[in-house]
Parts: sequence; structure tokens; C-alpha cells
Amino acid sequence: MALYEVERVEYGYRWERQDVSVLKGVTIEIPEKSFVCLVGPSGSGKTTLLNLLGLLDRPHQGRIRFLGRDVAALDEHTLGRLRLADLGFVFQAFYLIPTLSVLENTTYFLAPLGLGIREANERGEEVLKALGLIDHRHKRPAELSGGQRQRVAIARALAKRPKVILADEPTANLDRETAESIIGVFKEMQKTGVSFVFSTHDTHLVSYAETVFSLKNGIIERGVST
Amino acid sequence: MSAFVPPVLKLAWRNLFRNTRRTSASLVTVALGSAGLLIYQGFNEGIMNQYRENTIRVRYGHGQVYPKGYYDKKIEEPWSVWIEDREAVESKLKATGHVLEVYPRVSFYAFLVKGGINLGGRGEGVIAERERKFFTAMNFEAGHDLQSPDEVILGQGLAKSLGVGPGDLVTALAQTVRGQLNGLELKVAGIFHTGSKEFDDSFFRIDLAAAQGLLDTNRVEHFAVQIPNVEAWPQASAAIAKAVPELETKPFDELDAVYYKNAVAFLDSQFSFIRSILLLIIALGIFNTIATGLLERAGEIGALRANGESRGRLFRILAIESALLGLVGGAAGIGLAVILDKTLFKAGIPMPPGPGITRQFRIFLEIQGQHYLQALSLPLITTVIASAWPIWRLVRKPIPELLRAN
Repeated sequence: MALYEVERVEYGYRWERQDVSVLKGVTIEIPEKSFVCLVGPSGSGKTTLLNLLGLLDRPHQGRIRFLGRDVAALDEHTLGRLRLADLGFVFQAFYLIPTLSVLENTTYFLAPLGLGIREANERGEEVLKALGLIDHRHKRPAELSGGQRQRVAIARALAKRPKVILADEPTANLDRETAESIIGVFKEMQKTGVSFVFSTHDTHLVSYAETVFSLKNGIIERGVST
Repeated sequence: MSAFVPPVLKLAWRNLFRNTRRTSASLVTVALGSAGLLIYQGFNEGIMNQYRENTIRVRYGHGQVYPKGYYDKKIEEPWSVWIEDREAVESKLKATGHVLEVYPRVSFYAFLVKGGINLGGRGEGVIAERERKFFTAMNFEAGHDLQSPDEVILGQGLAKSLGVGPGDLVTALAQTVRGQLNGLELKVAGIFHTGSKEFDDSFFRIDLAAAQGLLDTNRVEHFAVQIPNVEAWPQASAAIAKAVPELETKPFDELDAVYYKNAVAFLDSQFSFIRSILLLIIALGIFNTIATGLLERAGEIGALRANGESRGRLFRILAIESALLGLVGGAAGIGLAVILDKTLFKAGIPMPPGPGITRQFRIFLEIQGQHYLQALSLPLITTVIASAWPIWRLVRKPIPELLRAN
């Protein structure tokens, strides 16, 4: 079963009394355990497509199937449950909770998933170890570097053991060395069955992708699988 | 915090410290509102209690016992229904176990004559020796209380109008129960100043036996009664009704309905108005700071929602944050009010004479248990209500909009 089936998806909005079309009939398919990059210039529709794949919004036309389920037919509560259990989001601005420690941020979503404190902490520490953050687990985000914070955001997404992690410019704020190590973690995690979909301008990250969708003016110009 | 604290509460508590300047501003708003509420309520209670004590200890006692229907029906010869066997009734009242002391009285209208001055006044015959132990708010500005049957004590205004002072002689002229004119020469023992202009301008008191002689009766009109405290009145009244069914009772606040009850109603509505203003100030202050704080957290909230956090749980966390703000602010306000009570207001607050009052007051804050509860709960509820709308609006926003916000 495909992770995503996107068929003739259109999305737009009104801006100063004019209809602006962001996605114009996008059709793509993303299999499970993929490593996918969405590339394209600013305003090409990458973030909008990422939001639709993350079940944060619904297409105005066309259909998106996630793990075989038509997203349009799902109510808000079910979409919320799917985002909690099967999706992990990593943002360029990290959006960590400044009042929680690294470990608490990492395990934030595990209680709603039904894990007890001990089990959640064990899982959180395991992920932090894999990302090289175990020694920082009691620190607050403000005590970490940008790269470390990005890794905590990734750890928070990974700890849920989702089917897919979606990330908007995950390496934009990182130096080359840190970006390299994080990509290494992504590739390792991919082996465990997690898919990755990135919106990025980073050609180095793109070079690791198995599939690259190039967007321009809301249209998929190219879909390249390596 | 302990692992036993629910995670939502723990997170809400820690979030209070994410922007200490904003949290401090909110806490100061709530604390000042809460302290204002408590101080004003204590002040209000102080005024009411002083006014109540004054009303009870000048004139009425905790209540009065009199012939049934005496104040409600028009009785052509009022003395005909007065109470005959005073001592038997006194014994029955005391035997109820609810009455600490009884004060038999007669009241009458009389002319007071001094030289060429002739003034109408309202006289009361009392047992002075018994009364002075309880009616302690008479405030003698000159002379002393009644000490012998040929003495009279006068209200300040009445004495001034007559131009008399302690030691002077006045003549009281009154109609006996048989309709004859009778007179009594009395020596002015003292001038009292209760603070109530109406009372001080027209009242005088003489010995009960002398008053009965003047009116040519051996009956008494009513008994003022002393009970352990104001709150015990309903039980005392019921016991009295059972012991002397031919008599009826009225509490002091009904006897002094025009002044006391109206004053209480006036102070109560004034307090309600000021309380509303204080709560509105808290609500507006909190609404503003909470709304600003939430806007700054829109991206973070969007990220949490994108990762599956439910609107309900987010609402709970943010609402608990506001509740904690209200609770901590309310507690700080109580602390502030208590400190001010023990320092700045320790000597009381001097007040000018109120309407119908001729004496200055010194009001002491009288903060009671339920006031603390109100000073804690009202700011708490106000804070939660004031923050509910911005929180609800934020968590209802579409996730992409939240993520674009910061």
C-alpha cells in the first residue's frame, strides 16, 4: 500500500479580491519507507503540499489518500489521531516548549499516545541517545545550540514512532557537519520503516533523496526517483 | 515538581515562568484587584459592624419584646395593652436560656420646660443600673448616667436647645394614662451624644419607676433584650415566642429599618458596584496580557497541533495556566491586604460623619473567612473567564495559519 496517493490536487486562496492558485492538479504517489524531497523556488507550493500531506489542511479539489484512507472523508478528531500516531512534523523554527527539558519535550506526545511515564522516558532516552543528545536531556532548549534544538525537534517527532516524518527545511539552520549527522540519523531511521518527506532548498539533502518532486507555480515539473 | 503532579498541571505551572515580566504584570493586576476586594470588603464589614454595634448598644438591644400587634395596629390607648407583670415576664424570658438580660422600658412624649423654653421630646423610662452595662455607646459628653430617680439624661441636641447642662433642673410634663397632665422636676445628670442626630435631638431618659409615676402606670411598654450575639436571634426569637406567646419580638434591624437596614442595603449595593469595577479591571488587564502572550505562542501551538495535540488538551493547559495565574495572584493579593491591615490600617481609617450621623468614625478592617474565599475565588474565576475567549480563538485557528503567525 502506498503511503500517499495524491490525485489532481488543487489548492488556492483569495488575496486582495483575486483567486490565487497555489497547487494546480498535483498528482504524486509516495510509497512507504521513502526518502522524498520537495524542491522548487519560493512560492512554488512546497509548504502547501507539505501541509496537505501532513493532514493540516484539505485540498480544494482532487483527492489525497493516506495509508489508503481518503483524507476528505475523515473528521477533525480522526485527522488529529492520525497526526498524533502516524505523522511527525519538524519545523524550521523548532517550536520546542521552552519550559520543558529536552527529555520532556521529546516525550511530550507519548502520554496522549497512552505510554506511562517510565515507558515514555525509556523511549525518549533511546531516541536522544541515537541523536547524540542523551547528555543534554535535562537541559532546557535555551541552553542548546540551534543544531541541538533541531535534533530535539526531530527526537520529539521520532519518539512517536510515526509512519512518516514531514519536515520544512530541516537543515536550513544547521552547519554542514550537523546537517550531515542529522541526515545520517534520518537514513538510519528509514531502515526501521519510517518515511521522510522534506520541503527543502538544500541540494546536499536532496542528494540523499530517493525521490525528488520539483514544483514550479503549483505544478509538479519533475518527479525523479534515483 | 513531583512526578505525581498531573503533566498538564505541571506544564501549565512551568509556563507561568516562560515570560516572567508578563506573568509578573498579570500577577500584579490580579493581586491588586484581590487586595482591593479584600480591603474594601473588610472596610465595608467594619462600617456595618460598627453601625450595627452602635444601633444595638445605644437604643435597641439585639431586639425587643412587646405586646402582640403593638407596632402594626393603631391602638387608641397604647398603655392599655402594655405588659402588666414585668417580673414574671422577665423570669420567663431569662428561663428560655437564650436571653442574657432584659431591659424593661416605657416610652412617652413629654414637654421639657426650662425657664421660658418649652420643648417636646421623646422620653424613655429605663433601669439605668442594668442598662449601663450593655448600652455602652451612649457617649456622655458631659456629666454621667442616671444615678437616682430624680435625674434625667438628655441628648446633645435637646440639651443645647433647652440651654441646659449637668446640674440644671428641668420639668417634664406628660399626660398620664388617665389623660391628666402630670409633671416631674428632674436634675440633668448628663448629656449624651450617640452620633444619631435624630436620637440626640429629641430623646431623654429617666428612671423607669419615675417614668411610671409620671404616666401613672405600673406597666412596661416593652423589653429590650440582650442575647449572646446577633446570629443567635432566630433561635432566641423562637424561644421567646414559645415562652410568652402573648408577646412578639422584633430584631434591631427591623426596629431601625429606616437607618440601619437602608444603610446596609446602601453599603451592599455600593460594594457590589465597586467589586464589579475591580473584577472588570482584572478581566481587562488579564485579557490583554493573555491575548498578547498567546499570539507570541501561536507557532508553538501550531506545531503541537500539527503533531497531534488535541484542541481540548491545549485548551485545558492554557486555561489551567490562567487559573494558576488567578490563584497565585489572588493569594498574593490576600497577603498584601493582610500586611496592609496589620500596618497601614492598624490604627483604623478615620471617617467623616455619615448621613444622619454627627460623630466621626474610625473604621477598622474586619476581614472574615468568607472574604478570603471570595478574594481568592473571584479573581480566579474572572481570570479564567477573561482568558477563555482568546484561548478558544487560538486553539480553533487552522494549523497552517498558526504556523504562519510567528
